[in-house]
Amino acid sequence: MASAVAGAHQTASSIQLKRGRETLRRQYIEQGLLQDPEKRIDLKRAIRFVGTCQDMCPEFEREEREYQKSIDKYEQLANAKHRIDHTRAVKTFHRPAAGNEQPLPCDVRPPPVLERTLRYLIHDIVAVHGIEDTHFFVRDRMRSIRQDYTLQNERGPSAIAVHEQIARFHIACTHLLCESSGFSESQEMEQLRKGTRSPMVTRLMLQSLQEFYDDALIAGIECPNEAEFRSYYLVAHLGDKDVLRQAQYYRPQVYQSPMVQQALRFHSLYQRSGSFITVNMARFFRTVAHPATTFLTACMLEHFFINVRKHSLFSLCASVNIKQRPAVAIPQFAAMFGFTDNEELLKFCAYYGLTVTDSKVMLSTPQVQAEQASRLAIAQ
Amino acid sequence: MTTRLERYLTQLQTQIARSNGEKLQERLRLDDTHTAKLAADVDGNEDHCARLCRSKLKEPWSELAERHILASLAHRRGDAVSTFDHQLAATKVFLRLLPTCNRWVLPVMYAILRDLRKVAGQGDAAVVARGEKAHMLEEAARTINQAFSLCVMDRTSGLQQSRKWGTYFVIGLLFGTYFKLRSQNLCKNILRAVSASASDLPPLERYPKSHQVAFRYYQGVLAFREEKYAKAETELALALRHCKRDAATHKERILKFLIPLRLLRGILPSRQLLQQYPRIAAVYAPFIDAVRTGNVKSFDVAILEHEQLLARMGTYLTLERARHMAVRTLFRRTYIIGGKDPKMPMEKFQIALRMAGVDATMPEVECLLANMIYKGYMRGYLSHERSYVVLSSKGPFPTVELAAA
Repeated sequence: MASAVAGAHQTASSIQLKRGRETLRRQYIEQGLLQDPEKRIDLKRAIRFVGTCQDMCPEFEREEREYQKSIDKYEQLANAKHRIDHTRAVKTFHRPAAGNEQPLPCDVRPPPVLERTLRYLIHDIVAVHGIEDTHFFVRDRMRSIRQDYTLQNERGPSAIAVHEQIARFHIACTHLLCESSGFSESQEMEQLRKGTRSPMVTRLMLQSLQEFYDDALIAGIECPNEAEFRSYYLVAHLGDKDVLRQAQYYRPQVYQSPMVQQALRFHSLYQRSGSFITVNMARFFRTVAHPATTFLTACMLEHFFINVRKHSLFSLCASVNIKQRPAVAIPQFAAMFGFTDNEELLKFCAYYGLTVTDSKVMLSTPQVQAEQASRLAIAQ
Repeated sequence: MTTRLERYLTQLQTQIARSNGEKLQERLRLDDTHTAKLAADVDGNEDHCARLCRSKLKEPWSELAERHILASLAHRRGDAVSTFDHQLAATKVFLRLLPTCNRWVLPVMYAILRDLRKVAGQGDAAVVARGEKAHMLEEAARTINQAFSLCVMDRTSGLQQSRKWGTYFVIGLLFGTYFKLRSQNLCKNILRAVSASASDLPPLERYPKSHQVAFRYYQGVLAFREEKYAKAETELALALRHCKRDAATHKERILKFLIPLRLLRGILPSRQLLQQYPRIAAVYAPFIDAVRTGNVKSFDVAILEHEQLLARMGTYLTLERARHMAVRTLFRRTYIIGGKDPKMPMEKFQIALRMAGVDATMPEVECLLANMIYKGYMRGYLSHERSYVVLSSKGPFPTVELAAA
């Protein structure tokens, strides 16, 4: 009964706020802080949208989410699960869609608040509760941070620094989470079958950063981490010649930087024409292990391992004499295919139908071809 | 004092009436001598000039003449920015009257568009020098694009008199502009439009040679960028064959792409050819020699040394791939020096690579050999357990044309 009473109270407060919204919007328009959607205006005279929300989560959303009972466990009050902790709530991501009401300045956080929010997510959530439990929550809230930058068309140093940190987090996640329960077995197999690219989110984020750097360059601002993130962008697009061509227009300090140079080395090791990939696998893995490859770069490269191994397996199986029942001893196979984990190696062999006997991997062709055929069937 | 201007306008009038595009275009070009003569008459008398144009010529020719004169004057003054503004205005007037004319007017269009692109480049250089953003070439590209549509979509005149005969010239000019703007991706839209109306256009072979060559060149370079090497080679080879004999600069531009393409297939240019084009030779000779002798080391050194230059030329990525041709030569020579023994220990290839300055572990050598066999540059198979390569008795190193198939 007590919760029903509390519910009634919430409803009242939420409805009040909702009514207040329309008045608020009209006030903003009158004050010239918000564009009147009914009126046509010259693009040059459009009002620059500036957020004024000083909390990690706008007041309206806090009330609304409490009413809708969509409170994450990191936002609950310790003693009342259905009550939102106003100091710990963080704004969620809303897909911009038709029908969603236009955000008001009081719903959007200015850069200093966004920076503070990101610090909170990293130091008070991820660092305290661990990456595995928090990453769904954190990813959503980070996405909302990026959205607030976009809404205000903020592309300056603050936006760059925040996007950089978020990108690093995502890159690390792709590696740290790939063995966790969140990424299911079947998903892993799915990746094995398709051959993967780095996740879309990471790619998109790196793409925005590329644009920020280009803008900063025109504005004459030097970004200290430009080389690092240009190199991730390069590595995320192995085999893409257009990206490689763009790299030739990087400014010399960036182009010559050790990280970009290392990324370029991977590009020349991993060559693609159409769906045909040529790579010297042994050299590729040796370069991955080299100290000049940073941890995050290696995290990004991990997505290409499947393709590297697969295509090298095709090439190896096509260049042996099957009649002689060729075999490779497991340690050598591991060295060549870059496996450090025996279980992973066995899984790989099982997937491609390679039999393992007497601690040797028997090379054979048919299963590899079957895999190719099924891939073609899927493509068609 | 007005006679010279009057005489000039009379000439325009006559050539328009006669539909003589060749004669007319001479008088609508910015670099023609007539502009010098007019300058003295018109300067400071712009209103009078405009009135005279209108009295002598019909709309919109009168406006075209007026804009052209203004552009010429600005051009003579060396004012690149206002030259562009007037030339752009002239072009827009011309595009208004283009649908009412047929094939005869094409030479005029060529002259006007060519000038437009030229002065756009000069104008952009001038504003960039002032620290402003370049925008004129982009504007020119948009305008040239309109001219393209008006040519390719001519439905009013019969094929003999159609503006369709202007299509490939405009494409050549437009692609050149897109390349300069680094917006090569826009070329795709044009090519799509061309192939959509391919059945209505006269076959490419019937267009003037110069139009053919330019079109094939750009198509070749675009295919080159997309790594459609077979198509690139066909188009560029045709461009080279039809290129005017003494057009050395054009040939050089074609060879810049054609040589790396052929190098990739192991086809080396003759020494005579290289002697004719010393600038090309200066860049590519080290690579050609490295492929010829199998000197992988000097290939690697050359690629490091020429990296920036090759990147600017747009051939770095392709040339880098020609490295495996050098490796192939190295392996072939290893095989010959080894007495053509079909059973070659892999270690010998490792030693050969080391001598060529490439430090490779055994698994790396094995992967390299596997790739060579997989791609058909070598024939035979690997015996991993005994660590040797068994080479095919007939043609262990097939000619590259066969391998590429």
